[in-house]
Amino acid sequence: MIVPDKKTETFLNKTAKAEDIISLCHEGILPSADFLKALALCRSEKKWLNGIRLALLYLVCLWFCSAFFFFVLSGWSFFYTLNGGILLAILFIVCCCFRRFAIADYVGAFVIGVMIFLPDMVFGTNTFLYKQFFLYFVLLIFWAVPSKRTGIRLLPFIVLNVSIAMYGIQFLLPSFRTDVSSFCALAALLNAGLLILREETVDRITWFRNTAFRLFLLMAGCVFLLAGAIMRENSVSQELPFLYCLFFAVILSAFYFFKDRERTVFCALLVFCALWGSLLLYGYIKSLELSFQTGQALFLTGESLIVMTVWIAGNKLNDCLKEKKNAC
Amino acid sequence: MPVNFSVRQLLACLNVSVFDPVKEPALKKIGQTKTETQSCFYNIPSLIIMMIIASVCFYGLRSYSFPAGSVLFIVCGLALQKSNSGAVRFFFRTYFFAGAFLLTQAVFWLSPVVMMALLFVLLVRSFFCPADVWQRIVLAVLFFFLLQSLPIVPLALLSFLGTAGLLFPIKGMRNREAMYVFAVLPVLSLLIEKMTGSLSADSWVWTGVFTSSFLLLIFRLYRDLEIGELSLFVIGALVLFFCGILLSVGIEGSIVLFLVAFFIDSAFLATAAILLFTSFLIVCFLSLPVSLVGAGIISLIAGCFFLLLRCRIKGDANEA
Repeated sequence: MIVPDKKTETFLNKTAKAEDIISLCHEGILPSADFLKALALCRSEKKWLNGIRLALLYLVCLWFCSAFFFFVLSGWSFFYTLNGGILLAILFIVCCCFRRFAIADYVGAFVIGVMIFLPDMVFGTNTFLYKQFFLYFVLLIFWAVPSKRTGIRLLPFIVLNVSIAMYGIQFLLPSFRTDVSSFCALAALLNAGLLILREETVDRITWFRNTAFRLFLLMAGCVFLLAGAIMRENSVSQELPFLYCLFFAVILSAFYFFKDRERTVFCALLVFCALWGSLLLYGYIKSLELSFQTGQALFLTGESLIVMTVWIAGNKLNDCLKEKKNAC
Repeated sequence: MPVNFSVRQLLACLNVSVFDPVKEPALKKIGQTKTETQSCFYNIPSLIIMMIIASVCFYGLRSYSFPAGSVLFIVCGLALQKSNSGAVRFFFRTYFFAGAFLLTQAVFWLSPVVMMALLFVLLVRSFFCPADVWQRIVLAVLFFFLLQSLPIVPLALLSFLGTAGLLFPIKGMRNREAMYVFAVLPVLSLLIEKMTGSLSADSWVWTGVFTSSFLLLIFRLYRDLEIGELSLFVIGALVLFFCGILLSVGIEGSIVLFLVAFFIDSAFLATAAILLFTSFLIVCFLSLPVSLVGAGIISLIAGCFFLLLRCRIKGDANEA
């Protein structure tokens, strides 16, 4: 070969990678005995060292967190005493002083919760959980406002939703003031209301700026709808409100997707539709009263088609977004 | 050492001439191989999703394995030949493999030996013929799962062959993906057995296999090692052997996998090895009969050990 053709020349001039070396061995150009030598020449020691150090960091965090967990669990009865309460208070003050570190920020939020729930566990006050979670939500707002971390800012909304769920389970539903479907629809509407409030004020209130708020509130609403669908009684008349809720969730999500081309919102919507479709499929197959094997075959085949549809739709969306980005 | 060697420079370092007329056609062939565009339907996440969907479909239709399997296999196989779009091919390929799983089960019930022989022939054929990469992977996975029905020795041998295949690429044999499957899946199955508590007397076989794999790695490297390095490797082999016997055979296996991954420069295998190592460590730790305080102390010691190791590696990196 005096003058290799263009493609061969391009191949010879490109940076050698492991796949190229394997191809060279498969074609017999490079002897198998030199395989590891060739890889040693191309290996990036820096990349490997960084990868190993990252893996070791995860292991260190895992083992120290588990050590903390076991020590706290073994000495849990200490927190039932006055000294335990004083220790928690000191820990909270230390977290307040060192809030610039992420770990202090999160531990502080956790300690607030411990200080709310501990008296009930120690003294057995039998306070309703939803009241405790609501108090936690209020205190978390004060903790989250000065924080710059999205995780901390999201915590009040997470605790609020837990509080709403506890309110339904512990008070509304046992007292028959409402049924499961209506309660879940109302909870989903509340999240939708918070979402709209966030979208309308995001330009003025920068605290909400991170798109994680949009994703969380949308998903919280969807989770309530799904929970209601799972727990509702088998009644045809209750299907209609959920279909409206489904349309509402889909339209709201599609609106925010087309407004900002937000991929995560659309992917979350696809997952929600897949779960909803699975529930509808399960309900429909159950109503057919087939044998177990036939029912299982139909359900799992349908399930596989749902997952397939979601995956293809998600990938097609990715392609469209990439093309639009490249075109811009 | 610079890492940006071109292929030409690399071959020159290893005294391989690009002007050799014997090697010219092979070089041209590699240069002209159409680089498959990284389609979003032909990558690792799509492969995982495909396996999940095919497994779900297989599990649902397993009571009708022969009729459903035949229909899916024939219809989707024909449609796969005709379709060009990535999404459509992904759809039909998934259900084609689901049909293959069902037919494998149906034939396996009739005659396990025939099915294993057929799979073996198809697998070996795929090494030498230009076959779809996913087809090779699925055949390797199916073959591995069928071997589970045999005693442990063939499975252990397969694991050893997988490691050997990764260290010794053979001319004309495209078996890389299958070797990854044979190297990783046995360790994964050991993890599942350990979690379900069924791993017992056969673990010494696996200890032997993993130690042999490490010795094979030493054999591969011995010409490039100095006496001091060679002795360190041999001591390492002994340590690994006793680690497998006294501590956990899975930890030994995952360490060997990681070392192989480092020398063959495979990030995927290294990630799999680290995940398996962490899982085995957790499972071993949770099965220890210690109190909460004892568990806390062990966790603290382990955390300090890994922290020291990390600091040591950081120190070596700074010196370098």
